[in-house]
Amino acid sequence: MTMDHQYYERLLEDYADCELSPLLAPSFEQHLASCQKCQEQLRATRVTQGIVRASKLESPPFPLPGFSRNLLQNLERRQDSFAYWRSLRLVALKFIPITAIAALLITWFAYSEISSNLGAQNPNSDLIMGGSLSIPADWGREVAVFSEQISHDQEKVFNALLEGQGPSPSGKEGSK
Amino acid sequence: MGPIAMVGTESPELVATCETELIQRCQQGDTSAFESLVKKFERKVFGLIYQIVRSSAEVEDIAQEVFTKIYFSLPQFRLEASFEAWLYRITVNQCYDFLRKRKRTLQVTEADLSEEEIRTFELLGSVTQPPYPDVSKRLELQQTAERLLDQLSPRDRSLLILKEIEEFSIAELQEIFATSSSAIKLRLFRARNHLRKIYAQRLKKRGQ
Repeated sequence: MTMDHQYYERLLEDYADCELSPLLAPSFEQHLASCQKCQEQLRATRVTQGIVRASKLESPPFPLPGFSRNLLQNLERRQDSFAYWRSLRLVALKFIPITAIAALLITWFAYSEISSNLGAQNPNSDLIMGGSLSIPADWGREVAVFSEQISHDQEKVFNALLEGQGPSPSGKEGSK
Repeated sequence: MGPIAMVGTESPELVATCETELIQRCQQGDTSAFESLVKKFERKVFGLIYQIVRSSAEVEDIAQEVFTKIYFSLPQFRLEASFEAWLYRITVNQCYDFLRKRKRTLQVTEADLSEEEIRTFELLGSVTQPPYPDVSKRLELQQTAERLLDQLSPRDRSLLILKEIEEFSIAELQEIFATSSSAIKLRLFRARNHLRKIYAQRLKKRGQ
């Protein structure tokens, strides 16, 4: 029943607009007779149709006999300005791509000139960039020696504290 | 006498041929052919503008703009396309532009509806030639309907007017709006739904 309703609900607007195929109309009407929901929906659609139809304004204004003649006179007047703007538009359409290409070329040329000038002024520019990132080959060994020294000093300080002596920064006291 | 003069009694094929011939002549710069084309469609265009814009003072100006656009765009018109649909599309778009510029402030006047009015609208929607009780009743209904329609967007209102008053079929609307029939049906459904909500609110307000 619900499946049926969903199927027929889709046909409802077509039926209200008299656009439903004559093959489907009888089965729709049969469903409509027994389905209250569809009846309510159809009624609501009919009301909206009625509102629009009721708003119809009677006797729309007729064009005056000279309407087409006046229109042609206006068109003649506007013809010149239209021809002017049209030719201007055609010129603009031709020139827009040319201008865009020229602007791109100028930008590219200016960029390459500026970057080559900067390179000539500072020959070490590559080194400046690379230098800060270059890592010395023996950096691991230096670090190892330094950390060994620190740990050795720490041990000496610890021993001195245990013996109740103040630490000797140079380590000469211990040797005496 | 131009070919258009005998159009009324001839077959649709001949009408289309005459129309194509007129358009071709217009495209070659024949102003008398354009005048014939204007004379052929001016009444329909006037009526359509009047129903959408609902102001007789503006109809002629909008129609002038429509035909001016047609005149200057005719050289680019493809003869395979439907001239009538193209003309109505330009007319509807010109009306939209006008309504957008006018930005009519929505009237807040409460158009309270009675169950009896709803029944009359339902009757109007069900039959094409409904029996009106009298002129004053008819005017009253027209004003109520107009106030309800005023609350719709120009787009929705125009579509409903084209469907119910100008009696365009879905296929014709599809051609005018250059879209699919399912898109037209969906737009119609939404516009009606919106109108339904508006009148339901009016009914509620009366009930309160």
